[in-house]
Amino acid sequence: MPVHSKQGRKHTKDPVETVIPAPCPLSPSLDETLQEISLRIGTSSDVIIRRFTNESLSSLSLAFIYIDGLVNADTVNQTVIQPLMEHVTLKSDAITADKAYALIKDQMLPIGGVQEGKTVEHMLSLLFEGYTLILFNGLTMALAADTSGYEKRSVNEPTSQGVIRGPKEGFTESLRVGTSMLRRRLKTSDLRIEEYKIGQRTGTGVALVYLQGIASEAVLAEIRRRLDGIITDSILESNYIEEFIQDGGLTPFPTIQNTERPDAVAGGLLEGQVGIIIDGTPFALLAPSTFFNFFQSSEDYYQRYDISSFLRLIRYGAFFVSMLLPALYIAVTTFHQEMLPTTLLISLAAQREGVPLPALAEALLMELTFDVLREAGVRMPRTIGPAISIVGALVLGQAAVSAGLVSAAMVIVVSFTAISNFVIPSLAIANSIRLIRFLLMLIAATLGLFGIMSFLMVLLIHLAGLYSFGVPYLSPVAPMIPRYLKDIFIRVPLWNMPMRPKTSLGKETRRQGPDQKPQSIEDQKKKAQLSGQQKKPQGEDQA
Amino acid sequence: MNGKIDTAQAAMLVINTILPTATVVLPVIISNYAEQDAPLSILLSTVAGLIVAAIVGTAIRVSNGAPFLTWVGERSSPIVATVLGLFMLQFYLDTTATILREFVNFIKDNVLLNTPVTVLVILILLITIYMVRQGIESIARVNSIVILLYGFFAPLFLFGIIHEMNVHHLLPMFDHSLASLTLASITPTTWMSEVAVLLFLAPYLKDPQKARIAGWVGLLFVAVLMLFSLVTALMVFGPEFIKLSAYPGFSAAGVVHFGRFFEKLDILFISYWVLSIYLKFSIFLFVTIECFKQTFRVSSSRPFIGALGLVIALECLFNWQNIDKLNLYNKEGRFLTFFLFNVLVPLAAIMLHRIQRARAKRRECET
Repeated sequence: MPVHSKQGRKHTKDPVETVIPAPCPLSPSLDETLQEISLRIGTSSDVIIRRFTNESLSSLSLAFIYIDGLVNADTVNQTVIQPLMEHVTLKSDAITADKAYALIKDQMLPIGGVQEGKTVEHMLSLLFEGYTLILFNGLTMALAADTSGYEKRSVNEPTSQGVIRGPKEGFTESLRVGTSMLRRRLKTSDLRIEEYKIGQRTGTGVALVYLQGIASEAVLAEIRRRLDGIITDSILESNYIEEFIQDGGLTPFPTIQNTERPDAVAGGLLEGQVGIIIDGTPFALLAPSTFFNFFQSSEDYYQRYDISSFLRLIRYGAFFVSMLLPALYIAVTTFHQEMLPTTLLISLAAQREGVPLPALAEALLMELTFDVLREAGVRMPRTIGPAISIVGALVLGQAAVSAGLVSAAMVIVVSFTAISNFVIPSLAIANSIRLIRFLLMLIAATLGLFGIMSFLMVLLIHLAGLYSFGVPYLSPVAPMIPRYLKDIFIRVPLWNMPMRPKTSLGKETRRQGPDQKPQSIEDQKKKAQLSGQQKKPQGEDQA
Repeated sequence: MNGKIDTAQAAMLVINTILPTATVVLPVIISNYAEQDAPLSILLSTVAGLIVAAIVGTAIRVSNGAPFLTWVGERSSPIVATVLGLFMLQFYLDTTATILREFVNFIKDNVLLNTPVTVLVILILLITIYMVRQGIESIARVNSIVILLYGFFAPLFLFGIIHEMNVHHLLPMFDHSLASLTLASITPTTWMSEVAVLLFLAPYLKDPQKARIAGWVGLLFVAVLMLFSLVTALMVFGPEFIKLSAYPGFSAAGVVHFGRFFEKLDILFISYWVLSIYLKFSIFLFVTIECFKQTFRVSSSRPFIGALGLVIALECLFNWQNIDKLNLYNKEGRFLTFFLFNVLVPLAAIMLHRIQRARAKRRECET
């Protein structure tokens, strides 16, 4: 409901109201400005307002405002309050507000970030970022000195995306730390960082990061359009942004990657992706992302290409196992027993003889039990964590089999499924197939392999119709673009990938020079001989 | 959602337009006439198919990829286009219904013996409607993935069955008269003539001038894969058993084994076949809807997909419930209708274009 303030301005109580109120200019009266600010932010105990008056003439009247906890108290005292309090000129009778403003702005603040503002909204936004405001009586302008300094978590190893070989540092919750980590890795003038403030109540800083010339302009324009279109009161984590801007609203599959690793973001930027870093979370976003991006790990590029290729194939295999294994077990044991070798069939039948539940109920029971254990493992205090694995492995595994509730084969199937799920490097896609697995189990119990294939067809057609910021989700496999397949199912040696292996790119598609294959001394000699032989006849001709 | 597809994707669509039901229905019909000479009839029908593809490709080239019935309407009269559209719509409704019936019959006979046919029809139809709603671009993308899987399944099939094959089952060769071979190749020719779906896919081709190449490449792949399926089945069972078996290709898959551990893998190949038949059905449903759209000049066909699907389901359930009737149609009736709509109609369109062009030239000369 609209509320009118003293000045007759119209601003709204509901922060998600799309009508943006007109900005309120600073009043020439310091009292009125302070009153307006107090009206806006209330009487919060952490808001410090301090007035400074030239008593001899009372023509100069200033006020400092800052928020305790968001500023570094030493910085405020040493770079703002102390110089102003001690400066002789400010105490003189002849000083006017205009002169004092110019003097403070140009000479008295020994600090890098000083901003000017003319509206209450602008000054408040700076205040909430840790600036100290300096308001002047008789002026409609104010100064803001960057005195921000709040407690931050130090840089640690990423918890969700660890590697054996490679950088061990992850993003922190600070946006500036995140952008600095990228600057350290990409020392190029092409690195661009565009900042947004999203969330009318949280005013969360969001940085759009990309490499000029490598990122596609069309993709950038689309991401900017979607970010500009977000009207919400809060952004507390990167998933908020992800859900607002991702393609295919109802899909279980992620179309934007998230990562804690600055090297992964840097790698993505070098391949034409666009990074989105959000203040308050260590998880950055990368877009556009295709289905196959979720199976690539930073470590793939930090170890030899042959082992990386092998591990990538293992991941694809694990993806299918994680999604299909329980459903296949149900379908085969319920509908297609003839597929099994006789000895295995007899063994399975013997195991299931004492089990009272049908295969579907057995699988659902075990899968749900595992999901309960997994969720408990996340929430449990770390000291009790190991106890959970003992309970899970011994009590619910061994004991359930001994009690005749489930067959041993089912325990193996569920365990292998769970382990396979953790092989997938992206938690986002691993989570999406957790849900699909349950659906597949129900279908397998109803329609057997035919049902599974029918569901896979639905899934395939759904994936084929998905896009991530205009890039087909299944590219470069469908539609097939053979030259981009060098880093999809396997990773070829880096020297064999002179072009950036992405479908959406700007103008700079080449990333390394030709003939980067390492050459032995023998090869070099042969090459020199060959080039000598080729040059000789030319020389003779010229002679 | 309907983007454009390139020539390679169109060629791959042609493969799955023909192959999935051809591998199920044709071996028995061909073997009844040609026995061990069945591969020769496949070659004959491929030649006929290539001629049909040339006719269809030429029709698309002269219309420059325009919607076929709209183009016919502009060249002749809207009434002619509407009447032709109604006949073609009936033809495609029938054909799509028979594909659905062949799909359901196969699943009912081999996989889900106790599931009611109606349940299967509704399930398949719902999935296919969803596929068609995603557009031809998505169908083409999935189709290319499914075609690529041949690279896995064909060698698996071959290595699993190679020690069961007896080359003497193919002898004596050239033992049948030309009349028998011609009779044997008539039904496969009708399947090969299904390349005519390109007429209705033409508006979605990136390069309609290359439709003929897409048709030819697709048909050649179909011929190779049909020969592969038929020759392996012949070499495993011999011509006499094939005549008796309902689905000889899948019977051969049942023989596939690796050592003593992996046996009876037919369900694996059936599962793969299910993917390809879904694609075939979706291509025909898409073409039927496209035909409907062009006949009745509706801008969006989305509201009608469900209704046309229902008509197809009803026709499948009540018109083709007798399997003998379906087999008789495939064996004897199919050739006439397919020849009419897949060969004569595009041929007439080309003739119409040529006559009009000749008239225009004559007028130019006169003036």
